[in-house]
Amino acid sequence: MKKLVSLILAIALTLSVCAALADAPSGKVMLYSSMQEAQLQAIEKAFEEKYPTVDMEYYYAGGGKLVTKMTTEAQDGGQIASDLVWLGDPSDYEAFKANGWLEPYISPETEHIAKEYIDADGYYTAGRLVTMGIAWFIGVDEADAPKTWNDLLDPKWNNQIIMTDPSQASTTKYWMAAMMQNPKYGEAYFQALKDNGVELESGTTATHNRVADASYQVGICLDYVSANLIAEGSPMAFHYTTEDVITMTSPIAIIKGCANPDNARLLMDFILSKEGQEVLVANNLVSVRDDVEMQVDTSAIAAINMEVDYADLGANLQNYLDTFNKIFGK
Amino acid sequence: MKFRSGVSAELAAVDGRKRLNMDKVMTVVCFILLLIIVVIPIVMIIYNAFFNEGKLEVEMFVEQVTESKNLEAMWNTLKIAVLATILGTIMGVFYAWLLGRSDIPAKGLMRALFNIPYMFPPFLGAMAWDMMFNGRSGYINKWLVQLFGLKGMPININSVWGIVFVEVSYYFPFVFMQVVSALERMDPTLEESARIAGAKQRQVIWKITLPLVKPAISAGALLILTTSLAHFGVPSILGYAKGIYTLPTRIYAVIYNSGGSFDGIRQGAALSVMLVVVVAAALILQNRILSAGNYDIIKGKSMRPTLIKLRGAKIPLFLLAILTLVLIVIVPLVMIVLISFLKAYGLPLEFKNFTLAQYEKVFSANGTIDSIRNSLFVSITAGIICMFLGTLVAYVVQKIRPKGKGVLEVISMLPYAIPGTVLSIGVILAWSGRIAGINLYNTIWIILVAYLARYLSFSMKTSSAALLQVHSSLEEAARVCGASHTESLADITLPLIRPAMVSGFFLIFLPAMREVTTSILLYGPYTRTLGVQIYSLRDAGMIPQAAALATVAIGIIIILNTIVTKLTKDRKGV
Repeated sequence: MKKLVSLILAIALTLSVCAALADAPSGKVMLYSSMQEAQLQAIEKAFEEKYPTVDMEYYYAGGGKLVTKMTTEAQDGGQIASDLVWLGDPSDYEAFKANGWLEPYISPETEHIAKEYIDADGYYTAGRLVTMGIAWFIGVDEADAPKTWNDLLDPKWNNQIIMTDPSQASTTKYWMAAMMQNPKYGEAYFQALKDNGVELESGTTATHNRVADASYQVGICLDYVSANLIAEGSPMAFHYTTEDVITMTSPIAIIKGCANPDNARLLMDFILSKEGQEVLVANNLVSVRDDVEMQVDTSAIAAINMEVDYADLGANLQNYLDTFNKIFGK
Repeated sequence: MKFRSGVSAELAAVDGRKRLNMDKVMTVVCFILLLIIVVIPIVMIIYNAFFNEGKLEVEMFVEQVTESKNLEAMWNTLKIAVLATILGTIMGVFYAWLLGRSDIPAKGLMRALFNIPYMFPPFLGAMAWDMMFNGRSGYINKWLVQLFGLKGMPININSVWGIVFVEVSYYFPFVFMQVVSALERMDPTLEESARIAGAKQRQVIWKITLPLVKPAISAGALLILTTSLAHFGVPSILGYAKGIYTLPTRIYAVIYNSGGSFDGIRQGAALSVMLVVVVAAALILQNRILSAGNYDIIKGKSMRPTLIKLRGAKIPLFLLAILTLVLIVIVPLVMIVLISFLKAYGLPLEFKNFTLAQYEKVFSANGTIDSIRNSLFVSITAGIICMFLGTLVAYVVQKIRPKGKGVLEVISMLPYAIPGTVLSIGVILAWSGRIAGINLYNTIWIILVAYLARYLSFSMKTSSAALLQVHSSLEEAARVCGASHTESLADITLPLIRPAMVSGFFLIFLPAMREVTTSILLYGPYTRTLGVQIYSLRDAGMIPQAAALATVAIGIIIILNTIVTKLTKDRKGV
């Protein structure tokens, strides 16, 4: 009898362990992202520590290159080879949505995220905030460094400014389009930039390194990339502009028909959770949550934020890019 | 010849239909494999360049071909290739003569060292030179400015001449190696008789030595020309940021800038046709200028040519050779290693800025280990498959000699003249679901298929040469003794050509390990190759990290090359 009881107990135990294992998430999850590799690695590490049975993988490339990749994969009714996509700025997501590439999902974590950071139809949610500003080589005095976008037109920076090619990086594309759309700047502004000898670099981090190695004195740069490089010891500095700050939400979305939908939701929840956002902040990124402590005062930046007309951006993005390419002779 | 076919016919009669079938099967397999690997991608390029959705549409092609940017790229491609060929040939011949025929000291060691640039991926060299002489920020440039109080940067490597310089320093061994071995095999009595007849040293070189090694020079120059025309890495790293495009970098840009739409790939196909035309034109031109004659006076290795005494020029020329080696081998290598220890790019090269963090990053990124594994996998697999397939094609062409063997030979040699970039486009067009629903895009197999097409001719050439030396009487003797056709093949022919097959394998494996031109257009999320990973790290601006991975790659290449040299003792390292 005793034997039988212990046998039953043993079986019950085995079954429950099996059941628990079956419940525990397992398998893979793939993320396409234009964030920096070090930050993706940090997220991967934290996520896999929390869910040791899930193998997170990521594919890192510039925003433009990722969109290219997704377009190629989706061609002729193909399936995009990722579970989630997390690019630098929201401008491409309206097109993704229209193409039918995205699966709507509103994470429970969005409780702590401002409504304007979430797509009205729930197709994408901001995963972090990215702000464009101005970086300079440490050989330049901070007092002399340009403080506004118009300061960049000062002839003293002639041939000394670098920016990223908007066709290659989605964050710069967004910034460029927002500036084009604003009557205060517009096409004339970019013509003036070109006339002042602004040059283009093919990738965001590459642009920053061109400032760090003193190829150019000044760069139109991103806050988090600069912060990362500065933390590594790059001889450069960064500040936000004192007016017309352009901040982007960097949305994360689940791919429709993806191979691992459960794990995709799991990863999205994790990235949006307090725990996940703290990993981002520890890696010099800016959180979208209202309950994460960080050095950057997001409300102060929000006060001088430039208005962006999303509808116009969605409709005219390509036109703005064409105008830009025409001015820069590409 | 007549006798042999007579015997073959009799043997065929002995086997009845079986022998015929065996040969027929091999021939048919050859045709089918070449059709899949080589013909389909090329046909797809031509079709897509001129047809859209089944209809003839020449507008796109005309538009691409007449666009000024593309014409400029074409002009740059030609200019760079011609300059690199001329300078590389001069340099290769000069050093071959110096190390092969003069009494310069430390010859053996120097010859080994002069082969080194051939092992190294040129795009790593371009990376190193960019770090030193970037027109805005090169480390040595900055140092020179400080030292001499210059106004601007003294040297700008981001120019057509910069690209030519880097290509020459990695491509001159093509000519060097060919000419050195031709000089070795040359009959020295010819030179001696000229000298006895009263010719001066200069006359001997111009009238006797050079014409004798002309076929070797021609073969080497041709290699430089085709390689340079098709090369992606160097012009991409040095020219891209400055808007200097060549056709291969233009194709890459077109495909990426178009957002990956099918139109972009079609534009790439149109530019590919342009590039192939340029390569073909260059081949014809080269053939005209250096039509390779046959000189039977080049004999076996039996005679030792007299060495020319350099006398007073000995030490200066020795120093020049050493300086060349330092400049093209040591300096770029040291630069890459130094940068790989740097905390952040742009910091001065001082000890306090050094760290091992880049290596840590490289080895903790899952992309790195994957890329090494991927490169090993595709290179070894491509090497093995090409080894057998190349031998099969060579056997069919040399021994079976079916109708249309000429076609077979041309098809298998075709990719040799077709740039890697173009092959990639063809492979994308063919194997991303358009034919029989086979979609290999984003998988490692698409890279493998492209490598097979690209490298098949390498192994076919070595196996062909070996098969020509196996007289058919050997196989026939076995047959007369009662061996079946398969047995005679397995016991006689294959063992005899095995060394050639093995060296064919390494001829493919080593270049495939460091390859970037083909895979840059084909890689997917899990299928970056080592070359692609280094290129993307650098492209993304993570220069010290790219340098760290490049150092690792160079280590791997050195280890592999040492193993190869050990394995193929009497042959020269590939």
